[in-house]
Amino acid sequence: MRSPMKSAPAGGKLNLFLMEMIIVLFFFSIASAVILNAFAASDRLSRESGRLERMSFCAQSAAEIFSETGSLSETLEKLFGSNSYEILNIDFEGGGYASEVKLPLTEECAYSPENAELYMLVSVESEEPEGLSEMHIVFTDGSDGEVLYEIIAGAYLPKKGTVS
Amino acid sequence: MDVKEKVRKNSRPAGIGTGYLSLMMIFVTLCLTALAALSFSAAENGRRFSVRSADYTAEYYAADLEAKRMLAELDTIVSGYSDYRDFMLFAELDELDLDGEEYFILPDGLEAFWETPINDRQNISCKVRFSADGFEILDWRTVSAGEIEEAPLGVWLGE
Repeated sequence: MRSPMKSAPAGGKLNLFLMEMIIVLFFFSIASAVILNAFAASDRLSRESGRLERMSFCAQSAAEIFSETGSLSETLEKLFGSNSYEILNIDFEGGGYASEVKLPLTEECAYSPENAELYMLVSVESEEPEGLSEMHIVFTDGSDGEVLYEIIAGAYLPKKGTVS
Repeated sequence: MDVKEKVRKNSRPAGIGTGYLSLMMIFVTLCLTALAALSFSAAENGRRFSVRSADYTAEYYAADLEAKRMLAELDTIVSGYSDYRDFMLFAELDELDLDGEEYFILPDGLEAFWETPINDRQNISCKVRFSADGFEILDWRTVSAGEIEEAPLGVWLGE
């Protein structure tokens, strides 16, 4: 006895093939959506970790320069070049001072007032002119202001002190 | 029956048969799933490493600031004395309550040693010499916190 599949006419085989193709395409589209989401999540994670690394390196460089110079303007000049930074300076009555600057940066942590994807808020505070200075660096997202990374560093450079 | 009709009856239908598409779809989906899982795992590992590295950087500079704060306090205290054997100097230094602090009186100055914790595994070890000219940093480095316990391996010694 011949099987009904084999005895089906050519049109029936075509219908079966089309039905399989529709089912395959349906499942493949669902699987593809899930897999594409996984790829997109990987890409997002990779971008975020790259950005965090760059922010960390930038903050580390700033902290190192500041610990050697003790000056915010010199730190910015050595880190981002000689641009005109809007530094807000406040002198305390007791002899201390505070400085603050908000820098627009790209994702690569390059200074860019036109294309601000990140903001680097740097504030320096010292209770005495030649005492310990503290530098607080905060990176925030350019769109929603979310704090992404922060670091605190210091410099103690009295004139009589030396580093061997 | 002529030759053309014979050939048409014996030939197989063109195209792929039923089931091949399903097999190909399963194979391609499995490959894509494996690649997506690998890329996600690599990205997650990279992110974890970046977060740990960034956290360590922040911890290090916070500890460095704390060590510099101690240095500033020591400098303020020591600069008020010309005689480093003065017991009042040591009374003031004891009030600072530094970690693992040690002081050595030298003929022309005072050496101070202390440690500032970075995290539970590492410290910043500081050694500074104070004299009439000011201070000189002799040592400022990261060291392992605590002692590493050497556990002997359970090797048979032939006894």
